[in-house]
Amino acid sequence: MADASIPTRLRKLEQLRAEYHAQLPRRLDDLESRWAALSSGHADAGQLEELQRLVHGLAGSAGTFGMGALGQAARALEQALGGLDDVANALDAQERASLASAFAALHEQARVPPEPLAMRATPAELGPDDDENRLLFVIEDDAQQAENMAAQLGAFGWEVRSLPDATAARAALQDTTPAAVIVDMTLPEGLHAGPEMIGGIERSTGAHLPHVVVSSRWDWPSRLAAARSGADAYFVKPVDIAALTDRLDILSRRRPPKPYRVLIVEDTAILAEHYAQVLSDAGIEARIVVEAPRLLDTLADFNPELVLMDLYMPACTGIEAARVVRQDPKFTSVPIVFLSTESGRTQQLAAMQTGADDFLEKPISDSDLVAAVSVRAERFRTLAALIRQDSLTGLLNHVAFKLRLDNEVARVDRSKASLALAMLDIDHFKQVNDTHGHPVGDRVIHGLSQLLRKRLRASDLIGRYGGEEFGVLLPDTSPQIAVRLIDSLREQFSQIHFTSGKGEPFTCTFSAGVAAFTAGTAASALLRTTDEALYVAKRHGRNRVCLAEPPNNPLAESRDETQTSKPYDAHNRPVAHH
Amino acid sequence: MAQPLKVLYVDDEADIRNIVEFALEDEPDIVISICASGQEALSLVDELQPDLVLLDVMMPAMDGPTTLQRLRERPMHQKTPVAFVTAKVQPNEVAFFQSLGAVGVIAKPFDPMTLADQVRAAWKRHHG
Repeated sequence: MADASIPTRLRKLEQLRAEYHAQLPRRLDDLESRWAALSSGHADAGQLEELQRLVHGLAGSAGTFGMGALGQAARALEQALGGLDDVANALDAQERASLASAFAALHEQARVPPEPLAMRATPAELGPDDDENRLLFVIEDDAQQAENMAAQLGAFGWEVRSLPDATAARAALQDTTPAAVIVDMTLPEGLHAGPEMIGGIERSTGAHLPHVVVSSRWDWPSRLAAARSGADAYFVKPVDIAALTDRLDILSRRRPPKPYRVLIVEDTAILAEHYAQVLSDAGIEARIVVEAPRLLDTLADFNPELVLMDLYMPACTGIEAARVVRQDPKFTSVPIVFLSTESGRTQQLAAMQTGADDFLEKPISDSDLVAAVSVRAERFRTLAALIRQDSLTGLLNHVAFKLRLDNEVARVDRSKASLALAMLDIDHFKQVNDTHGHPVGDRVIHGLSQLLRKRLRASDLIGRYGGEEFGVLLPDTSPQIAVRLIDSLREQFSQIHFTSGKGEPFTCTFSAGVAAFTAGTAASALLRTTDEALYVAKRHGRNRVCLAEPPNNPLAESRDETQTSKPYDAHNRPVAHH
Repeated sequence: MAQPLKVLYVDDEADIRNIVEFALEDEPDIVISICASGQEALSLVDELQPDLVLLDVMMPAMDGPTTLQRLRERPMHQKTPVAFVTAKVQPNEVAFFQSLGAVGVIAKPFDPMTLADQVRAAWKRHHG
């Protein structure tokens, strides 16, 4: 169901079911009159067959249209009719009675409307929550390679179970369904045993098992074997782990995008509710403002991505209301779409001057409304994201990060909660670029950004602060915990194997400074302190994390490489999976 | 899947044809053709060259198994995958359909919202 939205399809299905339900009385009448003719002896065997076929059709279709009980009643009648091979023979009283009651049951069930669609769970709802499933199977006969891959994938937040051969994998897959499988082309069982085993499982279960084939071979028979198994991707060894995790993310992700937020400003409540219903059926979150004065509160509270505005309202015109929206700097670019019966150009021009994005003429069809609104909300969201996000990593860019940092510092200053800031800088990054070229350098940056996203909470802010410098803001986190967390990230990052253009593996490290927010500190001062701690980490040999002591104390180095050898168990901490 | 899957659905029930059309018409990887009888299906298959034929079992004049048999008599369609769509899904019934050479059985009543997945699965079971 890739191109039509599920809500739209559900509405259409609802309509088909309503039509089906509506024609049932006529259909049952037809069945009964056929039966009346048959049972009074005015019919032949051909007509019995026809009746049987019609009842069979009803039995087959009712369940599909959401009327399972009707389907069963029809099935019962079908069986009762099936027992009558010869209508010429008079029916006995018992046969008549059982057929009469079968017809009565059919009538009764036909009056029951189809079960509401919302109550029927779709398989997507019944299936395991893929957002939570972080389990990967790595099927690899070389123990060294398996261990290496497990360690690296573990760094990206995956839980890895290693299996040495096809037999063990087949057994494990019988009782556990991982989010995805990474399978070696060649296993002890044969040259192409990996994909062949997965293909076999898919054929027997009839379900696709997301899987990635890794192989040291790039020949046609190997590629063909992977294609035949329905592999989602093919990676040549040594595997570029950052590219692999990107792929795994896509394979295991089912989370739909957040619904668009649309604010409806319309003084006719019943119309406003109708629009809201139409939009929410299409998966759009709609909020209604009926009285214009409530607009300001709702704007701030709801933060819409599009405003749908009636042009004529009693308290003020839509144009005036649009000006009010535009006066708030946060909403200078939010799309405003006017709804009006007005087709006069003068009115439209006046509205255009307030920055109206479009006019929709009332009455508008439901599908036009949904289309007009979603296209514009989508464009607004994309543009807004482009403005905030770094293009390489998708993290907050420098400006956005500083803005959020300011907000967060102000919030914490009021609430007296704790807050830690970390600055991370990739060690000798210039050398990576010089040795391997910028595209490879970009992969390293991308790899670190992926790692940060994986391991940090949804409430943590991550920004790409400069070229190879990253900022991480950790709300409600003590400086000690922050250091342990960043140090575990440092450890994990150092284990990721990147691949040069020539296919040679290499690793990278980063240094980090951490500082805790203290009451009364400005955001700029917190940044400076953190930067100083980062500088100390660099000066003391890199690949380490330094904690800035509270103001007026000398910077203390918290870790060196010998101390950080024990891995920090980040599972103790809530980790958000993005 | 680079090429969309061409599916021919055969059912004498107009309601079922409507809902199958609804269930499959919006799928980007499936092209659905629908007809109402075995005879009609046989007149279409040569031109259509479907990847998968879905047959209702109980149809007047020519039922599903007979349609399959007629199809197999044509050299061009000795291997065209066929699945039955039927309420008869007892293990012995399924075994019987398989013995006729069906690649799968889709149970009636089916859920229109997931029919496409069942169709893909039936095809995948055959082709991997």
